[in-house]
Amino acid sequence: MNIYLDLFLTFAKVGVCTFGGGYAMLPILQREVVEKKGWATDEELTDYFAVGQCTPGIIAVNTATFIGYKYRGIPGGVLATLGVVFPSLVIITAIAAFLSNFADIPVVQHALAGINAAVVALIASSVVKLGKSTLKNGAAITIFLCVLALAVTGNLANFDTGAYGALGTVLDALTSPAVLIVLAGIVGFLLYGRKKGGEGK
Amino acid sequence: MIYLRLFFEFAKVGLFAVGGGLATIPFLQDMGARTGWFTNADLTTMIAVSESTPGPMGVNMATYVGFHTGGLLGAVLATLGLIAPSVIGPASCFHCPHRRRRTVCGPVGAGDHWRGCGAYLHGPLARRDPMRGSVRVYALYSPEKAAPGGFHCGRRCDRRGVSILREGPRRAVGKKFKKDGTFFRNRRPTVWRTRRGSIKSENGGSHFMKKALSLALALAMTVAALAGCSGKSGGAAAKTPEELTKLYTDAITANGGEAVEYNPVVTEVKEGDDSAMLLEFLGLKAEDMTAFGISMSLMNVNAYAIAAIMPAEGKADTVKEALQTYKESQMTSFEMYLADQYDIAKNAKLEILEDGTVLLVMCADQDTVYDAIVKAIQAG
Repeated sequence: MNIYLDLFLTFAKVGVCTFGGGYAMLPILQREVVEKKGWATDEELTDYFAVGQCTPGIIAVNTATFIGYKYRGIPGGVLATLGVVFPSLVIITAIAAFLSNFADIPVVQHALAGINAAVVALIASSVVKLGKSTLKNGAAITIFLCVLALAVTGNLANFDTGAYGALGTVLDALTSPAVLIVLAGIVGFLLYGRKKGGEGK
Repeated sequence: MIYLRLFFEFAKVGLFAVGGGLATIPFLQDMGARTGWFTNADLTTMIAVSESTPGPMGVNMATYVGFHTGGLLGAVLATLGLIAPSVIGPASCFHCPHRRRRTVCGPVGAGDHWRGCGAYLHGPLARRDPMRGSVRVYALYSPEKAAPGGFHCGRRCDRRGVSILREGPRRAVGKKFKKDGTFFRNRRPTVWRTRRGSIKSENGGSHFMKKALSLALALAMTVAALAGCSGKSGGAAAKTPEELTKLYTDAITANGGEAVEYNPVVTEVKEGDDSAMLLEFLGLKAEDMTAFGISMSLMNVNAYAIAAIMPAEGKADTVKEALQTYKESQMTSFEMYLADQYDIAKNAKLEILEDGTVLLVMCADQDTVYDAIVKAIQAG
């Protein structure tokens, strides 16, 4: 089979089998890519996954791009990525089209209300889990609290320029997620960078 | 240009959301609030669907929002937007732009000569040798397998597993390092090793690359964030008063219901009709407004007024207060008189939209009409 088609189809298969986030993808990737195709070793896969987690973008997509790129250069990376998103595109489009036709029916609405409540709980549990593994030292907790305070303020108060003037613009920018992430990155770089330098001496 | 906007909005999410699909949620909330494409309740449904269907969650969310907003093409473009930074990011990480030779760095993998020996290749060592043309250097290290004789894959290398390979036609020539680890021309190479699972560089050489790369990435992210923020306020200013007038007229005429037929939209103050009286009723002055579209009933049996107004510079509060006063006066006049009209006046919606438009909707079924008009104004 054409190698590129093979890449696309293999990653499409991984995409179909992945439920939930990118974490659910690791065992499937391991089976398909390492055991069946031999495109990467176990160690490599773990490395790619780790890099995929800390580079911008979604883990699943990043990992697919890495493996495809390593195996067959840029076309390989692009095709593996398209393969991963292809099933989602088809399935979600079908569901979204279906749901928008039925969303007005009371039965569906009530079911969705129940499901939505469950989603909030599930997200909260993920947050707790993530927090346990991430918030291990003072610096991390400080950053967490600062960002949380800013984000909550941004959600509660709507700083429009009309009411607050130039200050409103600044506050509005400061509470947007993108700016918060970049700021947290810079603060982390400074805090941890200094710490490491100290240990070295 | 909703498709282009979808693509770039999601490219921004893809660029900033570090981690899994859950990390995209705050960005999507922000996007929903800014663009009005979906509400928070819609978002919760989307999360539920995305989590319970096959596929990575972030991708599912992008597809769902894209479809919700722009149909099939929207779904495709939102997804492509989301993955664009991923495809570009890792590719540029693995490409070391060193001395015009691009070399792959990372674990040794399928297709490499050193496959299976658990070693690392590192690219920034590649450099041009003026005598011999391009030379690609692989620094390899594998403590477990650095037994006499080198790697089990049979290639020549020294005991530490460090070797260079000259790139040539179907020929890989191993050249040894000196025992103290120096290169034969007194150049210290950067050796990446795997020991206790960590990857370290032996000297500082490659730290510079890493720092430069992360700095460039941070810079790109900051620029993108600034661009995203400035785009927010830039939209309204681009429209001329004539365009705004037309936009308001169309939005109100199309969504105002049958009451608009009896009360055509007024957009300018003219001699000889009711327009001057209408503004007086609302407590507005023509010079406070850049553009406006107003459809309202002057008869005292209906609480009906739909007004979209772009205030003049700095007059937003003046205009909003005037409309608020009008709303209260309507409530007072209907309170003892017509209960149903009192309710309409009381439930009237008065908001400043994100593009600066002050919008008053006082009519039956005001929520639907309000949402439709907001959508129409934002789409224009």
